[in-house]
Amino acid sequence: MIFARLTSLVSCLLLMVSAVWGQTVNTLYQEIQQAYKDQEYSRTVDVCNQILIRCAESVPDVECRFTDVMKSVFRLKGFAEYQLYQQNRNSVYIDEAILSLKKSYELFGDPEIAFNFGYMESLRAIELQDGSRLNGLVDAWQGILGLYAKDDWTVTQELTDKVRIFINQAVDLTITPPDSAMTNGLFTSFMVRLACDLAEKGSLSKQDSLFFRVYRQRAVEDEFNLRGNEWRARGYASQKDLNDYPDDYNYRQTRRNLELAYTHAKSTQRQAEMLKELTKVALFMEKEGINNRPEVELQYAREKAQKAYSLLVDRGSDISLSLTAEVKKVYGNSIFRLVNYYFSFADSSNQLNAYARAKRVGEELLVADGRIGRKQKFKWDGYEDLYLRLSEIGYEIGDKEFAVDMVDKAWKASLESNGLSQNDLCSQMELLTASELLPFARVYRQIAERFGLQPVLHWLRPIIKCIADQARSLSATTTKGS
Amino acid sequence: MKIIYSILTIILTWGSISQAKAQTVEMNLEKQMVALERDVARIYNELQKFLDEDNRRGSELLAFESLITIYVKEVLDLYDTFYRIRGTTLESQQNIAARCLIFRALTYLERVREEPSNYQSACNDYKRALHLAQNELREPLLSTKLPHEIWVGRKLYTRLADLLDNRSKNFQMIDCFKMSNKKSVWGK
Repeated sequence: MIFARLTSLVSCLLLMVSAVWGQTVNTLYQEIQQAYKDQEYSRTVDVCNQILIRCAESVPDVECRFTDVMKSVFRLKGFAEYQLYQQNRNSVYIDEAILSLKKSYELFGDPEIAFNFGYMESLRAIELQDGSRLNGLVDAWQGILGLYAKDDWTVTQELTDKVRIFINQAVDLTITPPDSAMTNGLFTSFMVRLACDLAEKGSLSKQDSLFFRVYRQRAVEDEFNLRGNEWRARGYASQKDLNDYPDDYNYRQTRRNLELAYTHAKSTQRQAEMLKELTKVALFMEKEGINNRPEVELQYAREKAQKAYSLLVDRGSDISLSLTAEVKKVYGNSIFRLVNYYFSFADSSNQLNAYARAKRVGEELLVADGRIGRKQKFKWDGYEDLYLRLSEIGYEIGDKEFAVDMVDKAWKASLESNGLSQNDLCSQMELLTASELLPFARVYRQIAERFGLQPVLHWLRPIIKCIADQARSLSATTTKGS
Repeated sequence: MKIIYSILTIILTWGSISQAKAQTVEMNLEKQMVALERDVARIYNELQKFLDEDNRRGSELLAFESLITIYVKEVLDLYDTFYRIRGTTLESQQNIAARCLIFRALTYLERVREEPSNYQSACNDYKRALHLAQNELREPLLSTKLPHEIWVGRKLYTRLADLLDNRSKNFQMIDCFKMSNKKSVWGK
C-alpha cells in the first residue's frame, strides 16, 4: 500500500519536473512577464531561476544568448525580489534584488536600472544604519546622469522626481547613524548640490523649486555641513510641534534633534545658536509643567546657556550681534527662573537653605563692579528683575550689604530700562511705567526701613507717593474703560 | 526639366536641413562636454576640500573616485561619439578629454595607499591624456591655462603642470613611463 503511494508520488513529481523541463526558455520568459504583470512575485522569481538554470546548461536554448531576453529576466527577477522584500521586509530579498539588477545593468547598461539598484543599496545602508555605504548614491547618480544624457540632456519631470528621491536618500544617509558620524558628510553635501544644479536646469513647479532651494541651503550652510543643518531643520520642526502640542514625546524629540545639531555643528555661531535653542526649549518645558521635573529642566537650561555664554566670551567675534543678545537673554532668563524656583521653596521647606541656594545661583551672573558692590556680567532684557529678586533674598537672609547693593542696582536698572532719571521722576513718568516702578520702590523702602537707611527713605518716600498716585490713576482709568 | 529642377532643389534643401540639424546636435554635445569638464573640476576641487578637512580617508574618498570616474566616462563617451560622427576630433575636444583624464589620474593617486592597483589606472589615464593632447605645433597641454580654477588647500592652481609639480605627482607619473615602454594602443 505504502509502496503504491510512494510510486504515485514519485511519478507525479517526475511528471511535474518533466513538464517544467519540457518548457522552452521562450515559454518560460512569457510566463515570467505574465506572472510579474499579475503581481505573482514569488512565481516570477521561481520561473526566473528556472530560466537561469536552463541557461547554465552546456547546450542552452538560443534565447539565453539574447541580451534583450536575459537583461529582462534579471530585471524582472530584481523587481519581483524587491516587491517580496516590501511585503515581508526580509533583507535577503533586497540583497538578491540588488544583485539581479546589477546583472541586468551589466548586460545592457540601462540607466533606469542603475538608478534602481543604487536606490536599493542606499535603502539597505539606511536600514543597516551604516552611513558609510555611499556606493548606492554613486550608482543612483550614474543612473540619473545616464537618463539625463538619454533624454538629450533635458530634465524631464520624471528625472526631477528621481533627483528628489536621490536627495532624500543622501540626507537620510548623512544622518545615519545619528549619534556618531561615520563620514564627515562632505560627499553627500556635494552630491545634494550637484543634484540641485541638475534639477534646476529644468522648469520646476513651485513646490519642486522650493524643495531644491531648501536642500541647496542645507548642503551649503555652516561650512557645507549637511548633517548638522539637517538635524537643525528637524530640531526646529519638532520645536514647532512642541509649541503646538506640548508633551513629553515632542519635548524629547526636539531635545534630541537639537542636541545632535549642536554635536555636529561646525561653526561657533551654529553651536551658540543650538545651545540657545536647547535653553529655550527646556525653559518652555518647565513653564508648561508637563513632565513635572522643573528643577531638572531649569538646571539643564542653565547648563546649556552657560555653555553658549562661554562661547561668547571665548570666540565672541565669530558670533553675530543679534545672536549674542539672544544668548545673553536666555542665560539671564534661565538664571532668573532658577533663582525664582528656589526662592519659591522658602514657603514650604527650609527657608534659609532655599534662600542660600537661590542666592548662589544668582551670584553666577554677578561680578565685582569695581567699587564695593557687584553687578551683572551683562545687561539683558529683564536684568532689573534679577537684581530685584536678589535684593529680596538679601533682605530675607539679613545680608544688609548684599540687599542694599542689589536693590540700588535694581532701582537704577528699572529707571534706565524705562528711560527715566531720578531727579525729575514724577514729571517724566507715564502711567504704565508707574506700575512697573512700584514694586522696585516698595522693595527699596522695605530694605531701607529694615536696615535703617534714613537718607534713602528721605528721597524715596515722596517718589513712592508720586508713583503710587500715578499707578492708582492708571488702575482707575483701566476700571473706567473696562 | 522643371520636375528635375524641383527634385534637385528638394534634395539640396533636405541636405542643408540635415546638415544644420547635425551641426546643432554636435554643438549640443560639445556644450555637454564643456559642462561635464566643469563638473570634473568641481569634483576634484571638492575632493581636495575633503582631504584638507578629513583624515579618515574612508568610504568618502572612494565615493569621490567613483564619481569622477562616472563623469570622465561620460566625457570619453562623448569624445568617442564625435570621433564616430566625423572620423576625427577637434583640438578643443581632445584637450577636454585629456584634462579630464589627468584629473582622474590625480584622483586615482589619492587612494594608492588603500588600493595599489590605482597606480596602474592613474598611469593608463595619464598616458592616454598625453597621447590625446600630443601635438608638436602647439603649446603643451600641461602648460596651458586651465578653464577652471583648482584649489588644493589654500593654494590656487591655474595650470596642470603646476598642479602636478606641487602635488609631487609629476615624479610618480614619470615613473609610469619607466615601468613600461609599451606603445600606446589608444587611437586619437
